Amino acid sequence: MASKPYPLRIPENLLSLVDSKAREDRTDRSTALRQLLYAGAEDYVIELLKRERISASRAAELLDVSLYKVHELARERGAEAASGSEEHDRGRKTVGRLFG
Amino acid sequence: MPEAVYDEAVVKGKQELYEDAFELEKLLEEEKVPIIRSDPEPRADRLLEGVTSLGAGERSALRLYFAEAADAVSSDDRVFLNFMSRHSVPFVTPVNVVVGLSRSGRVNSEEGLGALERLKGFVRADVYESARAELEGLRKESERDNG
Repeated sequence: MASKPYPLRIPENLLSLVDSKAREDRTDRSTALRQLLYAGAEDYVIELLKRERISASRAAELLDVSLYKVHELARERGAEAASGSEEHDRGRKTVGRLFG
Repeated sequence: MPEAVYDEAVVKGKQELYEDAFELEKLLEEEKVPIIRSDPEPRADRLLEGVTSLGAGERSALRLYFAEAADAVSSDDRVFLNFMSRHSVPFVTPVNVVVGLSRSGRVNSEEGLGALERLKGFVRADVYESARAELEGLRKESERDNG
């Protein structure tokens, strides 16, 4: 996915955290910052999924990952995108009509 | 299968080395399932206008439903299913299909139970239990009928 530069003022305490992470992961400040941003984005998107504001497919698009990854992230955070008994019952009527 | 769904489920999955993506690709090839590119479709696009909650796969599935005058859309995503319900688009879930195939005798209840077992990690517990009970009931009926 394409990226864009974005100027941002970051509080010093957060920058210290970023530097600490960079040291721990043996990487640079920018990479550590991007990793933290991605982690926050994952949390936010899975929260939207949990609240049924977006579908799993949309979540995958927003995070630029596969559906499998989204389902994995959802499971880790106790979210479920799958149909419930209400949807199951509605689908059952259609199946009855189609399959006889 | 819509091309966008194939991209989500196979192409992207393979890039991230998910085994299910490789298996799905193989199954689709074996069963010669056509991968269809869905063009803009006025009825679908009217329903989708301003909708930001659905992904490309779901949008293309809806376009294909209208373009091909299909009987229903298959999905297990709650947000998508509720969207279709609001707009009176008929749908089936994978569990519906497994139970429906068993109930109609197209597969036997053992095959149905086996298929349901493979879906277990991907469906809600209450849906799984309800489907399992239904298939077990069919199996007992079949055993009674066969003496």
